[in-house]
Amino acid sequence: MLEIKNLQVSVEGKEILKGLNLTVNKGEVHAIMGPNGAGKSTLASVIAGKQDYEVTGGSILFNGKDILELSPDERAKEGVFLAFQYPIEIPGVSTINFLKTAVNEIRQHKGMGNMEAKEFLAMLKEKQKLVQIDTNLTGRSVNEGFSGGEKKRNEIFQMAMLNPQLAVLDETDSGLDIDALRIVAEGVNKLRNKNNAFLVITHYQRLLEYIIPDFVHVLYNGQIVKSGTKELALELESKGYDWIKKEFSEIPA
Amino acid sequence: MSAVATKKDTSAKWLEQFELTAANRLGAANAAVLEKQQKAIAGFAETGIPDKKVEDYKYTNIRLYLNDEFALKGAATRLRQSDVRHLFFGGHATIVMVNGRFVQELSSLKNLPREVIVKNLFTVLKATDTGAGREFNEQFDEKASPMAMLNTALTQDGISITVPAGYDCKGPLHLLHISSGTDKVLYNPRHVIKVGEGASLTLIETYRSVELTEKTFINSVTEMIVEKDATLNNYILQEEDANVSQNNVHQVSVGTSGKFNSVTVSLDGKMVRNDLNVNINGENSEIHMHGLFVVKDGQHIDNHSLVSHNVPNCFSNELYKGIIADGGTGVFNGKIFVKQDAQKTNAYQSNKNILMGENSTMNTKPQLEIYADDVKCSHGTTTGRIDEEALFYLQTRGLNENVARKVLLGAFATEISDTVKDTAFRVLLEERIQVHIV
Amino acid sequence: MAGSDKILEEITTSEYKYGFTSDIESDTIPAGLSEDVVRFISAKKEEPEFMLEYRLKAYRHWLTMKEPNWAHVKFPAIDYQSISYYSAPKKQKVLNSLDEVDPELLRTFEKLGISLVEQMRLSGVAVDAVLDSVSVKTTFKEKLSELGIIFCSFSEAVRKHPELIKKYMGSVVPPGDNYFAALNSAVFSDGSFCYIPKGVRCPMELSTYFRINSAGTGQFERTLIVADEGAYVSYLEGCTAPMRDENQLHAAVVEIVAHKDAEVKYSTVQNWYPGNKEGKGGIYNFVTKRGICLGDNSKISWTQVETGSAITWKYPSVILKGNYSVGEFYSIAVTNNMQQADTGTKMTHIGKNTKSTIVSKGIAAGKSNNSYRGLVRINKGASKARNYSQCDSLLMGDRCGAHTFPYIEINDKTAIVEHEATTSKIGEDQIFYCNQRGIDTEKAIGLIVNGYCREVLNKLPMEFAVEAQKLLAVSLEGSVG
Repeated sequence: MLEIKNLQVSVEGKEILKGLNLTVNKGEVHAIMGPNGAGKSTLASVIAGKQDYEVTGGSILFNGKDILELSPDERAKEGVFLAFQYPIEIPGVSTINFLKTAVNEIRQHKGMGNMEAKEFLAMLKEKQKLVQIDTNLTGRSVNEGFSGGEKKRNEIFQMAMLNPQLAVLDETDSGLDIDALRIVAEGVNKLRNKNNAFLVITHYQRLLEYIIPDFVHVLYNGQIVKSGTKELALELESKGYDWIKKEFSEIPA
Repeated sequence: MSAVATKKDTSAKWLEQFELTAANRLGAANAAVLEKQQKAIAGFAETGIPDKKVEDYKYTNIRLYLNDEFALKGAATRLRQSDVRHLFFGGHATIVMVNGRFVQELSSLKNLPREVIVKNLFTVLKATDTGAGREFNEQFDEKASPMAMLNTALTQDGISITVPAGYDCKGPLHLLHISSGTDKVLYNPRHVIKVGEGASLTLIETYRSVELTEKTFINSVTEMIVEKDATLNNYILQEEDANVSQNNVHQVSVGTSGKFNSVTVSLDGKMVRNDLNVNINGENSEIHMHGLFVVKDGQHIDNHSLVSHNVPNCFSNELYKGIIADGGTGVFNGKIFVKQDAQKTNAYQSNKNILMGENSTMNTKPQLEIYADDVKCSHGTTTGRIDEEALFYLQTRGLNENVARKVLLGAFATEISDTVKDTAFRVLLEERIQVHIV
Repeated sequence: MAGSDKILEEITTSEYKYGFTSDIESDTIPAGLSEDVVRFISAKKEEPEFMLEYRLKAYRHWLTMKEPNWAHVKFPAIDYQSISYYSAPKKQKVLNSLDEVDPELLRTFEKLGISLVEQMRLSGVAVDAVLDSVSVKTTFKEKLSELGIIFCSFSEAVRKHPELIKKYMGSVVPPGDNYFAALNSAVFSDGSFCYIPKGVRCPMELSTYFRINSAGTGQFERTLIVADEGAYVSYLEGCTAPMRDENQLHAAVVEIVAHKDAEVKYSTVQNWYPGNKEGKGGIYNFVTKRGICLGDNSKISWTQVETGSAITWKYPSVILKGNYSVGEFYSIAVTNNMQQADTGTKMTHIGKNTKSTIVSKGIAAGKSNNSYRGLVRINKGASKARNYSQCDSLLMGDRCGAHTFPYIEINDKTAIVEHEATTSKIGEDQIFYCNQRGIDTEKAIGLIVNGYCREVLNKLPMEFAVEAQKLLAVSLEGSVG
C-alpha cells in the first residue's frame, strides 16, 4: 500500500531524512521508534504533504500512485490520515461542521454524493462510542480549549469518522495519562482491519503494549537502521537509545 | 473640556522671531542647518501652533499653553552648583542643561568616560568637516509635527552626546534639564544622541525647575541614533513645576540588531506632551517602551508614541500606565505602523489607566496600521477605578484607606519602574512616585 | 508554499458574483442639485410643508459644510452636480397582487435569491421592497396593523403619520449632523418607517431590501424605527446591487429610538457592488446610522456583515441616555481587491450603569484596506458605565492593510473600559490541518473565516446568518475549481 524508496528530505537546507526505505502492506501495523531529532515527525509530515519540507530525492508511492505530486487535501482524499502530534485549534468552527465538510469532500472525491444528515449523525454517534469521546467535545470548536488528552482523542475520533486506508499516528501517546492512552489504543485496535494499515510513530514502547505492531523500525539519523518485530521495541526499552546511537554513530551526520 | 474656547494661533509671532533671531540660531554655525531651518519655518507657517482640529493634537490643544506672552529669550540665570547638586544622584556623570543650554560649571563630569564625547550642538555643527550639518534633522520626514518644525526653525543650541563605535559605556549618564528664570520664555533646545555601532549607553534624563518664577514653555527635540548592534537605554523623569509646559519630541532611529529601551515617567508640570517616535530601520531590532504618568488637578499629560516597523523581523513592546487624580487629564496615543515589507513583525502595545477622582479624564487612542500580513500585532487598553476588592482586603488587614490606596497604586506603578536597570535611578523613581501618588 | 499562495491569490482576486442589471423604466430628473431640485423632490412626493422646510434647511446647511476627509479611504472628488437626485419606477396602477408587479423586477429579486413570493410564502417575513427610491410593494401590512405596528414606506409615513415623523425624524441624526447626513436630509428619496407601540413584541423579523438601479442615480434612503415603551423589534436590511461602471453614491440615514424597556435589533448584510478587480466602479457607501436608548433599560443592537461597496464609511452608533441601557455593535467587514472600508461605531454613555459591547472582525484581502474606527465616550455622571471592545483583523495576502483606530474618552472615574485588538495572518497551520482532513484550501479558508466570525454571525437571525455565511465564503472565493 505504502512504498517509500530512498526518501531524502531537507528543512531549511538541513537534511533530515537521508534515504529512508519503508514498505507497509494492507492489514499491517508498523511502529517507527527513535530518539528525538531522528526525523520521525518529519516522516509523518512529508507523507501528509506539509509545506516547508523539501523532498530532494526518492519517492512515496501510495497504492502505486506517486503522492508527492498531490496536494495535502488530495492525499487525504486518497485515504492518507495524519493524527497530529500537536492538533491545531480552529476557533468558531464546530467539530461536527468540520467533519461533515471533510466527510463530504472525501465522498465527492470517490464519486459519492453528500451524506444524508441523518446518516451522518448516526455515524457520528457510533464513532463517538467507539473511541469513547465525550459527546459535548464534538459540539465545541475544533480542538479549541481542549486538554492535551482531549485533543489526541479527537484525532482518533476524526480518524474513525474519515476511515482512512493509511493512518499515520505522530506521537499520539505523548502527553497522555495511562487511561487516555488505553482509550486511544483501544480505538485504534477497533479500527484495525485487513484493508487498512497504521504507521505508529512513538518515542516510547509503552503505546506498543496496547497497539501490538507487526513490525518495529528504528529511525536514527534520517534512516531506518534496524527493523524487527515487537520484541525489538522491548529491547530498545531495556537498552535505551544510546545503544542505537553507539552502534550507528559512524553514519556521517 | 469642550467648554474651553480654542485660542488663536500665535504662529505669526514665531515667524517674525525667526527673522529677528537669525544671528543666534543654530544655522549661524552651519549653512546646511540654516537651509533646514528655513524649510522648517516654511512648513510651520502652513500648520501653525496645533489645536484640537489637528488629529495628532485632538486631545491636547497646544494653543492653550503657548501664546504670544512668551519671548525667545529671558534674563540670564545665575545658578550655582549648590542650587542643583541635590538633584544629582548615584554618583553618575551629570550634564547640567539650563533652559536648554549646556552649563559646564554646574555639571559633574569627573565620572564621564573620556571616550564619550559631550559637546554643545552648536560647536559640533561649526566643525564643518564632520558631516553633522548634513545629518541634522534628517530623521524627520516632511510629516514632522508642527512643534518639531518650530523647534528645528528656532533652535539655538542643545547637547550632543556621542558614544563611539564599540564602546560599552558602563556607567549611566545623567542629563539634568533645568528650567529657571524670571521671564516668560519659549525654549527650543535641540539634542543629538548617537550610539555608534556595537556601542551602548544608558542615558537618564530628568526635568526639574529651579528658581523659576514665570511661565515657561519648553519645546524640545532630541534626535537619537542607535546604530547597528548598539544599545540605548533612555530613562526619563519629568517633574517640572506648575509653571512649566513642555512639548518633548524624541525621534529615534534604530539600526540592525539594535536595542532601544525607554522608560518615561511623568509626575509633574502644567502640561506635558511627549512624542516618542521610533523608526526601526534595521532587521532583528528589539524595542521596549514603558511609561508611567501621574496627573493631578489642573495638569495635562499626553504621551504620544509611534513605532514604525520599516523592516522585517523586529520586535516592539509598549506599556504605558496612567494614574489620573481628580481634575487631571491624561492622554495616551500609540500607533504601531507596519510597512508592507516588514514581515514577521511582532508588535504589542498596552495602556492601562486608573481614574481616581470625580473630575478625572482619560483619553486614549491606541492604533494599529498594518500593511504586512505575516505579523503578530495587538493592542489593549483598560481604564477603570482602583480595585475596590483589593482595597477592602488591605483594610481588613489593618491598613487605613489612604495607606491601602497608596500601596495599590505603588504596586500599579512598580511594573514600570521595575524595567529600569540602573539601581540608583530605580530607587529615585520609586521615591518620587511615592511622593506624587498621594 | 507556492501552491497555497497561488490559491490565496486566486481567491483574493475573485470578482463580484451578483453583477447584473435590470431594465426598468425610470422617471429620472436631470443631474444636479439646487433648491429647485429639493422642491421638485418634495412636490413629486406630495409632501406636507413641514417636510419641505426640513429639506430646505438641511440643504442650506449642507452648502456650508465640507466633505469629511478623516477616514482612511481615498477616492476621486465627487461631483455632486453630476448626480441625479430623483429616480422612481414609473407609477403604475395600484397593485393588488404580485402578478401586477413588473416581471423584470420580480426576476431581479429571484436572481438575488430573495423573491417576494418565496419570502412571503416560506419565511413569514414582511418585505418592504425598495427599488431605487419608491416602495413598490409592502406585504404583511394587515397582520402588523392588527397589533398597531406601523410598517410602511417613509413617504407614506410622512403623509399618514406626520405627527410621528415630526416628533422623531432628525431627533437622533440632526439634519446638520454630518456632510452626508445633511445631503440625505435634503434629498432623501424614500425608505422605511416602523413604529412599534407600547408593550408590543413584533412577531416577525421586519426586513427591507434596498437596491440601487438606475445608472448615475444616487440613493438616499431614510429609515426611522421607533420602539415605544417595552416594545421589541428585529429589523433586517440586506443589500445586493447590480454591476455598474460609474461610481454611485449611497448616503442613507437610519435613526432608531428606543423608549423605556424597549429593544431594537438591527441587522444588515451589505453586498453592494464593490467595483472590479482594478477598482473601477463600485458603490460609495457613506451611511449614517445611529440609535438612541432614550429610556431606562432600553437596548439597541447593531449587527452588520459588510462585504460589498467600493468604499464603506459607516459607524452605526448608540447614544446610551437611559439608565441601565445597553448598546451593542457586532460587525464583520470583508474587503477584497481594491475595496476600502472605514467602519466602526460610537458608543456615547450618558446614563448611569450603561453598558456597551463592541465586537469587530475585519478581513482584508487583495489590495484592500480595512479600518476599524470607533469611539467610546463616557460622559461625566455616567457612573458605573461599562464598555468592552474586541477588534480583530485578519490579513490575507501581503498587499492589503488592516487598521484599528479606537478613540476612548473617559470622564467618569467609576467607568470600566476595556479594549483589545489583534492583527494576524490567516493560519497556515489551520489550512494544512483542514487539507489533511480532505478539505481543499478554498473551502478551508471559507471554513476558517466563518469560524473567525462566529461570534458575530451568531448574533444574526437564523436565515440571515445562513445567507451571511455564504456571502463571506463567496466574497473570498475565487475562480478555483
